[in-house]
Amino acid sequence: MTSHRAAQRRNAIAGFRAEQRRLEELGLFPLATDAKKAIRAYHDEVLHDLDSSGARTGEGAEYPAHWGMRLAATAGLFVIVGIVLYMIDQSWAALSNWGRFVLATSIPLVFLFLSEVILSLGRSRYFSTLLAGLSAVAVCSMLVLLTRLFNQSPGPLILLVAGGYGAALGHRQQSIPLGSLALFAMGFGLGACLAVADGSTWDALPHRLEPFLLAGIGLFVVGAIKIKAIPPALAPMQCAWRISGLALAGLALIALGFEGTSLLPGLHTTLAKGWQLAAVLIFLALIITGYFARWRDLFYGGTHLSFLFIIVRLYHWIGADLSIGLKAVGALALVGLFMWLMSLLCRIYIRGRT
Amino acid sequence: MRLWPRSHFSLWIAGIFYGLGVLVILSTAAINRLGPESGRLGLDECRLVTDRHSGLFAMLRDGSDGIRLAATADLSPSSYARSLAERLGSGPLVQTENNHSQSSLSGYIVLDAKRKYDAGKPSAQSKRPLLIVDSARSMDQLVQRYDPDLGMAVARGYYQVANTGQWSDQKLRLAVEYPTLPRAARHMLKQLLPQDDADNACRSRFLLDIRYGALGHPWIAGLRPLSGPTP
Repeated sequence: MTSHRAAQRRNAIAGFRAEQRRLEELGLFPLATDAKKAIRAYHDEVLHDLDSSGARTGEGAEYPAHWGMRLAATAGLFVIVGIVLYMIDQSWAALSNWGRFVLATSIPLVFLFLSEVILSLGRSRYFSTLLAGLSAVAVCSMLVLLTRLFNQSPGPLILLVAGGYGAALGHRQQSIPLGSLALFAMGFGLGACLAVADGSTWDALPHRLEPFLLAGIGLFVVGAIKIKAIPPALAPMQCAWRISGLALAGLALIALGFEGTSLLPGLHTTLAKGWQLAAVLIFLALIITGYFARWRDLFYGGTHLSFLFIIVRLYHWIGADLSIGLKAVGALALVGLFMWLMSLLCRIYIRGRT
Repeated sequence: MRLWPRSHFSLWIAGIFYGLGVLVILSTAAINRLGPESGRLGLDECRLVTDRHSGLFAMLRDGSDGIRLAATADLSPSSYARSLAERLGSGPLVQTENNHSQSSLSGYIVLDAKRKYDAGKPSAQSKRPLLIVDSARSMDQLVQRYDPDLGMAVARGYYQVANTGQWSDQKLRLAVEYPTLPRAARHMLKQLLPQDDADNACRSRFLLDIRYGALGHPWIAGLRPLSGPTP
């Protein structure tokens, strides 16, 4: 939540409380005492979380940065980071190994510090989120560097740890894009750790995709169940868990439709066809459940995954026989069809809701 | 301005992940270095590949830091290769009916720094690669099979098991091909000019002392110049 929105929320709660007092004086607020207490406790909790998240009051809140400004600042940031990394690369050979260790471990912390400074200044969350994302990428790179420094071979645990770090920062920033990406990486890392737990290497991953499906389902379940311990300010972040879970499980399900990707015993062809059937049924179930249960993530997630499934299967069946020109035309037509289909589905979904 | 006005729970979680990642790597390195050694090799320049592309990005990409341990499998006699392949194939993967055609597994390999490479092979003319002479899923299986006094070491490695009806172990390789060098070693390597290979003969100018620890990870104990070319 941006500081501007946090101020709006504070003002709304204050307005509600003032109006409630007036209505009570007029005898027009017939809620039971328990219900009033519950509402007050909820609002107190929201205000507490808004305070602890570092958002400033309405007076100090900044306006969200314009997209042009964001693009320019992002480009500038990447240029600066690129120059600094190039300079480090040039002097890397001259550093001692412990000097390399200190440098590698401090870069993510520098990004995190800058992110927190911007957050505490009440600037647009875009920049603090961007720096938090860079910090997560830097943690992943740092872990790869440290394994190399100590002559170990990098494993999937790195992705799990860096994903968890990024997901935590995503929650800190209350950024669904950062949270979703990092949770996806974390789920992928978890799935990879499970898949190679018997001592296999990365090469074996494409042949055992069920752990990724399970990791995706796990992420989705965490995002779908109501956890009372979650502070109200973090409740919207459950959406990131659901999105990343759907993406990971859905992609794994689509990939399992190809022969030789399953860990289960049985004939490759039979297994692939079984997973294809499961994918069709599950994606349809997601769309139907999302529509009738008014669950937007499921509805749109199921739609996207169904469309992706159709494209992948079509490409697999006829892609080899098409020329590059036909493939390009087909891709354009599919993008157009997808956009039309999505606008149609949006209208259907909104009409159903009203 | 007040940083972290109230320590947010998410920051603590991020800190735990950060600390956990660093701690796992450091503790693994400590176990490797503080435990018993699993071999020590003295390798002259002609048993190594010097790689001048070192830096932050090179290390991120493939771990390059100036030197590569180029190891080649040399499982002779051929009947021994067959029994070794069967031993490698005794892991849990190859027992399943639905196993894919080839799977890369991590394990341990025995390196021999003194055995002569087969003269019939073309690379023997100038370079004498490090030889892989044995392999197994666990280190315990190899302890009885190598002799550290004869220039052998047990290192972490990868091998591929082909499920073609007859086991094959054609692709053995080291898990760490690019060991990280100390700063002094890097500096010395940088001073060396490229080899003059006009007569296609390698002349060793330095000796690398490389050790393998309790977990089979290598570290460089030293790199010293040689006074003259080795025979």
